[in-house]
Amino acid sequence: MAPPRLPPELIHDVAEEILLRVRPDEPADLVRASAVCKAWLRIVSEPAFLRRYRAFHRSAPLLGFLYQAPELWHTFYSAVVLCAVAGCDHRDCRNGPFLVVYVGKDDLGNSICAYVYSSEAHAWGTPVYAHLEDDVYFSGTDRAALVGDAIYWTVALGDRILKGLPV
Amino acid sequence: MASAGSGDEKAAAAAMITLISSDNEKFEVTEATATLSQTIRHMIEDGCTDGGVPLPNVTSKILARVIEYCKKHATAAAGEEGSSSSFSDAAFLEVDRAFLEELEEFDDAFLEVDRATLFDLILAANYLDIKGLLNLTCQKVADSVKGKTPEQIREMYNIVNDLTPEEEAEIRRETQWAFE
Repeated sequence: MAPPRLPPELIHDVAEEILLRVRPDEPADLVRASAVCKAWLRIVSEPAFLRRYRAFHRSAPLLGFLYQAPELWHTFYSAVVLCAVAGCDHRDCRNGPFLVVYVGKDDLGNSICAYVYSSEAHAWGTPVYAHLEDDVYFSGTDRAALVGDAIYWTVALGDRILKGLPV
Repeated sequence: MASAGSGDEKAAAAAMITLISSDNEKFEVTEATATLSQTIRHMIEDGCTDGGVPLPNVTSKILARVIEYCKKHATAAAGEEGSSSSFSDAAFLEVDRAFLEELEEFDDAFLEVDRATLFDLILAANYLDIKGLLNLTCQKVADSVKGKTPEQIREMYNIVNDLTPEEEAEIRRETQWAFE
């Protein structure tokens, strides 16, 4: 019996269509696919492809995984990833240095703590604490907003704002 | 109205397109089936389908499968259009769901092919610009790389590793988490 026929070579356009459809729920899949050959690596590295990929899956790209996370995790917490390139317009930033800002508050106690991770330093910085009044509530579930160089979280059911300035 | 209707039917019946495979086999298909391919749709619009449409990149074996796909999906599209005017909303939804289920079953069975045929279908769908077929076949390949190592993907799809050892080492170093 003849051996099974080998698949024909895929042209660039078609390889792109396939890679575009690798589901984002397991980010390692696309990374491993990029290590298959030069052509696939080139496609996955193209900013245009990554824009298409984000649009196709209507999801935020995963920028990276948190490891060496702060030892102390909190009952209520929130984290954001920021581009750390000075003067960047943040329209399509990737591959550059980044910061992760983590804020957390325990169920008991009335201080919020914030840690900043720097990809350039490969390390979490020293935590800073902010004292909250007794009635202030922080759920960490609301989205943070970045305005200028500061990140804002709402606290106390939305009528107060926590402002975090970069270190 | 009756005469106009029969006139339309005649025109539809007459609108047959001949597709010619790379190995010179001729396939007669309706315009509704053929125009699922944007490439052929444009040729029809430009009036260059007289004497048949030669498809030098598509073998008769693959073209037969592509036509099978287009026929099914063209029928489904026509069925949906027809049903929208003759059923109540609830009945329409019921019919709609039945159509979709049938189509899904068809698509699943359609994808039961060896990898070489799957790649041939992708290349044909790309060349003929048949969006649904391209999406279906590419998704099947994309799903098949799930959880696979680069070596396994290369082996599955006969892809030559042309990355230098340095490049490979760099990818693995930068994205170590993906290889653990």
